[in-house]
Amino acid sequence: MKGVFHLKKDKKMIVCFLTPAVLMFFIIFLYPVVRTIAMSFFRVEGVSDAVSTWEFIGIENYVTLLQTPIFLDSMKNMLKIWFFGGIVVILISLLFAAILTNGLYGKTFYKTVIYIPNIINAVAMATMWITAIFNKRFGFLHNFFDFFGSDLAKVDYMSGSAKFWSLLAAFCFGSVGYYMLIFMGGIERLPLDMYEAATIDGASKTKQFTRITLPLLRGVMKTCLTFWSIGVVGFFVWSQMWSAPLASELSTTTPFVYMYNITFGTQGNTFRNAAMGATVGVLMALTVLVVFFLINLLIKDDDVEV
Amino acid sequence: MKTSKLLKVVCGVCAASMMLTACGGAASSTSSTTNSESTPATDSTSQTESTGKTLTYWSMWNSTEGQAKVIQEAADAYEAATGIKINIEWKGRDVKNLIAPALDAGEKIDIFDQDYVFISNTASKYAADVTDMVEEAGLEEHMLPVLVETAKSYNDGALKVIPYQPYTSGVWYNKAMFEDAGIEKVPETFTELLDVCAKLKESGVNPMACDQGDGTALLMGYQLARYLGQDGVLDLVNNAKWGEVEEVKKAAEDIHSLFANGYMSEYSPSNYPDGQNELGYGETAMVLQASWVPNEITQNTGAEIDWGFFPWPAVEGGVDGIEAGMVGAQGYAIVETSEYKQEAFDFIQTVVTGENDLKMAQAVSSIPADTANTEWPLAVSGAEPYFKEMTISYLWAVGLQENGNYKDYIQEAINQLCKQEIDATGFVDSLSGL
Repeated sequence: MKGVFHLKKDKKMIVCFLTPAVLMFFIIFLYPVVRTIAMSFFRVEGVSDAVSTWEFIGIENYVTLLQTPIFLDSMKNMLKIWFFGGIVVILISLLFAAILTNGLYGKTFYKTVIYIPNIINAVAMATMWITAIFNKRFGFLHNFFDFFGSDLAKVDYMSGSAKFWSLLAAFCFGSVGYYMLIFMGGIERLPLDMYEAATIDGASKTKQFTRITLPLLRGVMKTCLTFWSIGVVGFFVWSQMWSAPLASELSTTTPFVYMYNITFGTQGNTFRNAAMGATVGVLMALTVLVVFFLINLLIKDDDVEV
Repeated sequence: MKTSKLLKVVCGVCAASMMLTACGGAASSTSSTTNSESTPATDSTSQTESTGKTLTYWSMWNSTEGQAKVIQEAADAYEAATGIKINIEWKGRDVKNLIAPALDAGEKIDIFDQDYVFISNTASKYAADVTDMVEEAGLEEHMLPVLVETAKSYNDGALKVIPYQPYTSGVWYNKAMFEDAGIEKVPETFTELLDVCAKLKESGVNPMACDQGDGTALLMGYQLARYLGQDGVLDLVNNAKWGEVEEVKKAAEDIHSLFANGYMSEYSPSNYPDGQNELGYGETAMVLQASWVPNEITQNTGAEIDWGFFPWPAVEGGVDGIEAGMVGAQGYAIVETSEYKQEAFDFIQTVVTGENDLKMAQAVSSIPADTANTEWPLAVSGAEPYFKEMTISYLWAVGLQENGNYKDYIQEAINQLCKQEIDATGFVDSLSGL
């Protein structure tokens, strides 16, 4: 009887504590999500236009969007960032994590230095790269190659095809620290006795890394890939900084930049299509879900108890 | 024991001084309250008693900008004169994206400002028709006709915006460099422009510079518009006729020749604002840009240049000449649902005319909105005679950025042409495939 009373009391408490959070979730999160999904099936000009003014057009927005070259090109850019950037960031952060968890002197110092770009605002970081590193007259790269009399001093990193790669390099530089910390956390929880046994058996450090560390980091790798995918799908600020003062540029535009431009219009183009913006948003959310599903399918969880 | 006594004394002194400080603060704050409360009573001649009315104004400026300081002063003066408070929220340029959702959600806003075409076109449903108020106040006489006509064209003759801080565009040049090169007359045709460039190059300076993006878009936009006019360019953009109109290739050849002949600096097209800054570093003589460029160059480089101006030259067999140019302005909108439309209008009138308008023009070296203000800031004064003679207005970048779905392809082709990665034929080919 006493137990039942406690359970009832607990349920009341649970309801009391959960209600505000659930309500907030419905109002602040679920309502905009449902509205955005619904909007993608209508013709709507402004984001806040009354529902009564919406005109139902079925999947026309999706069909149009998937035939819009600039959207497809922005998807290509996003895919390139995901693939090439992903390889660079994951490999370098894994390498740093392996080195720093190997009893290196001054580990905390290096860890802090590598992580610092993550605590600096993306706009400030981008400005630093554009003006101090890539500027074709005063930038570090220009001065460095000029010192050695190399023709590379004349390269314009902020135009043409080089622009995409300079953007990617700067973005990857800022991302390494975050993934390095996740990998370090994963490596540090691995049991030391495995390494001791491997050392006694004569396995080199490289072999220990490839045969023990890497297989046991599958779960962490899955987490990192998921975070990386979500981050790349939401790629926006860096792209805007690289195309400034224009709203976007072909070589650096991404789906979110296109979504922003089509939703709110730009300086030379006052045309707005909030429903198309919503369609981009829904497609991007689906992309994240598909990537998440594929990662779960392709990478099995750690099958060794640690 | 001695220590404890000493501590007590120290504590006592501290407590006493804290009390005194507190009393002092109270006294001074009382006196300041008294002062501020007594102000309207004692100074009733210059300070009108508050009416209790407050107008909310969402501004496109940030509070630290030169324009904001002038607007704040105007609001303070308006409150002192009428007792109506103008509550200004400095939203910055994002007001463009924020205003519609805010008004749809029922936010009480009386005034907002943005690009005048944006208000006349995109935000017109939120803006009140001010045609009658403008007429009653005789404000139209103070407004630039080219702006009024453009604004009215979006709303069947109704005026929904009050333009201010207008801009024009054309070639801004360093007069001293022109003199050193022996150039006595500014070019009126593209052939003359090439001659001017050749003379400047001979004198040892870069004739021109430009930045990627708006800089290169203006170059190609102007050249196309000189051949085809505004409607012709829009026809190209909206109906993808790049391969069908032979003037496209001519314009591309002209622009390519500026780069191929070395009339553009070796760094052009640069990443913004490096190209325009070359004028500030004393390396380059000319830049094609809007009238905010002299102020930007001064801000970026600290250079004090004796600025000259001429409109982008005409071309042989072209539709438009120097009477056509890319002009625009910021604009004020009075919100349709505002209870205080007349009050809002009266306040706006104090900003866009007379002394405040002149102060704003001087603060950021811009063009005065009030036609009665004939004294233009020195940096932009060269544009005055051409601006007043202008009869045709172009859209921003002559409409090359008009189509959101393929403006980036046009821009990419222009940049490639300017970087000499493609020639005029390549330019036409790349856009014909769109």
